[in-house]
Amino acid sequence: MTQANSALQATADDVAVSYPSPLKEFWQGFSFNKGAVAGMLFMLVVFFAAIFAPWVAPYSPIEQFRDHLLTPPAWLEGGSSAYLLGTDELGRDILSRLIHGARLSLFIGVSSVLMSLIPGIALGLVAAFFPRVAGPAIMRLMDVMMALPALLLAVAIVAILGPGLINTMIAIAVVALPGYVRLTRASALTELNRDYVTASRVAGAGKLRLMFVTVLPNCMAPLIVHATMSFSSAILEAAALGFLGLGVQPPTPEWGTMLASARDYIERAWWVVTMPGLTILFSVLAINLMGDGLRDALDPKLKRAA
Amino acid sequence: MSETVLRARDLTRHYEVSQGFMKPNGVVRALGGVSFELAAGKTLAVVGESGCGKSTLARALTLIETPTSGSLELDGVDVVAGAKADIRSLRSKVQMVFQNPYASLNPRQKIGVQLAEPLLINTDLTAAEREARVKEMMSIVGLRPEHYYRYPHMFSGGQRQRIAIARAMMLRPKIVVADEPTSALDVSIQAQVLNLFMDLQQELGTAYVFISHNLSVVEHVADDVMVMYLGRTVEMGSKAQIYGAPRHPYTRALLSATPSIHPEDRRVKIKIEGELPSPLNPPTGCAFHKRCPFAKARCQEEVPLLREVDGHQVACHFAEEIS
Repeated sequence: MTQANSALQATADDVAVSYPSPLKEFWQGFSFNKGAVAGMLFMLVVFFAAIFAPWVAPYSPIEQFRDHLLTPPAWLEGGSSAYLLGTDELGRDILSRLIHGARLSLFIGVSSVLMSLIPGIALGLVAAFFPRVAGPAIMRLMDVMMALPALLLAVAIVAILGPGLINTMIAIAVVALPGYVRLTRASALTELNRDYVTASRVAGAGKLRLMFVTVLPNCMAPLIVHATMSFSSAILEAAALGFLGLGVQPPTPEWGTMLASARDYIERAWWVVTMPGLTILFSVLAINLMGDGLRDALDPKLKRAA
Repeated sequence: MSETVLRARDLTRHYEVSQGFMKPNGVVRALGGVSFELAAGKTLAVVGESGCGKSTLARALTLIETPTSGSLELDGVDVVAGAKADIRSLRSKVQMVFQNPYASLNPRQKIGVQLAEPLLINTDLTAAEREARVKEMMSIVGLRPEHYYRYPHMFSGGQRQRIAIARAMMLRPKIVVADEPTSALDVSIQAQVLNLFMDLQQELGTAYVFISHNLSVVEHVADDVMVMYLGRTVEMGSKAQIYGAPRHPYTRALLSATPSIHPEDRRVKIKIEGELPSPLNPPTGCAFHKRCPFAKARCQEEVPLLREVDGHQVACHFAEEIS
């Protein structure tokens, strides 16, 4: 009897003090946002297509069907169900090229965002925490970088490093860096004056702990939004560099390059330029929705009381 | 008499401020030579109007800012001259409770994590031991165990202030500096929080430096009272002396301004004219002479020093005549 009672007591206590694991809690917050879930599903489909491109795509991305130049999409007059989204000026299947292009485009987008986000956060925090020497030095350097036109700077960097995919991504990341640094420093400076940072300091927290445990999580909201926005501009800048002969070279399929090379046919064959454009648009939209959901799920204030 | 845990001598803190292009930097004497002693388990209340240096004093005492000059001894160790390692070890001996409970808790961390942070940094306890200590402290300050997993925004102002007090007490500090801990709270919650402060003091023997501009709150908690004006102490003594027989005209004015619901407690209001002078350009002689109803020629020329009058310290040339 007493045993049963204490067991009951124990379960009651467990109910009172046991809470979902952080991952489950995160998923609850995230799945509450329907748009974010839709965006994530779309991105999962795109990722799946990118990983399994050779099996998913109906044709090779560089195979030219000389009899079917500029075939319209299947649902239009003159379209063929063999080429669902039509073919381009060289007779290549657009759907296959988009599926194969997802590999490169997503890679460029994700890695150049990460390559500017991580050093950007680190530099921004250093600039905020060392306002005497390191701070002004970093910020003036960023001002110099911001003063140069983005594409010109990227071209200069690629010209120094040499053309190629990795160098293109480095160039794009360097160009995007000042935005992250400024954003991180500005939000870190406002947080630094709050009492909870002082409280942590009084408790003996060191600089690193203050930076990454106390202050950084409170600065993440604008950074997440900025990162998702710059994903799209990374893809487009990669296209611009490819167009100048400094990035991805034809016939490698890549969304931005497809968009850039098809502009001559925009009046005769709108689908050649529209399909990659829509793919970029939807991917960016999906990533932005995911970013919003991520931001909300990481903000405890927007969670319902547990 | 119990041991002295905190001894400040001539503590000063000056800030340089730019006054514009091609002008020399001005010096704000936020703290102009403050001395006091605090015994273990006692409460020293620091009162004064806004801008008199109370919060600067709090920042100096909690080692957030180093004083410009003077000496500060915590538990027998001089902090100003001390080595960095000494100062680190003193971190766990002085803790602080802030005025605004909405800004003093990290919005992104669960209460349990925030309360465990001082232990994580300063002790070698395991995670389970830390959790046990946190839960124990939570029950002491009247929080339920399930609050461990909640975020600060789910709590009311009074609960947050109790969480902040719990965090300050986690390391069992010898001294807690409370910077207007009740001024952001409802009156009903103020009493609750003050009683918590006093219960903890009895239980743990903590000494408090209690900064406030609410004289009725001070009367409730203080053992000794220090009245500050423009970065200097104008009067210091036991609570009974300050409230019963104030000698400095500024103290008298402050006390007379305290509202009371009992008509028999109401005193004749002593009105002081004008504003607090700029600390960039303080008046000559006694800093209070421009607003003092008793000011004489001597007050303009000579800075009054703290001296013993009727068993407590007063900085006024005419303390004897005023009472």
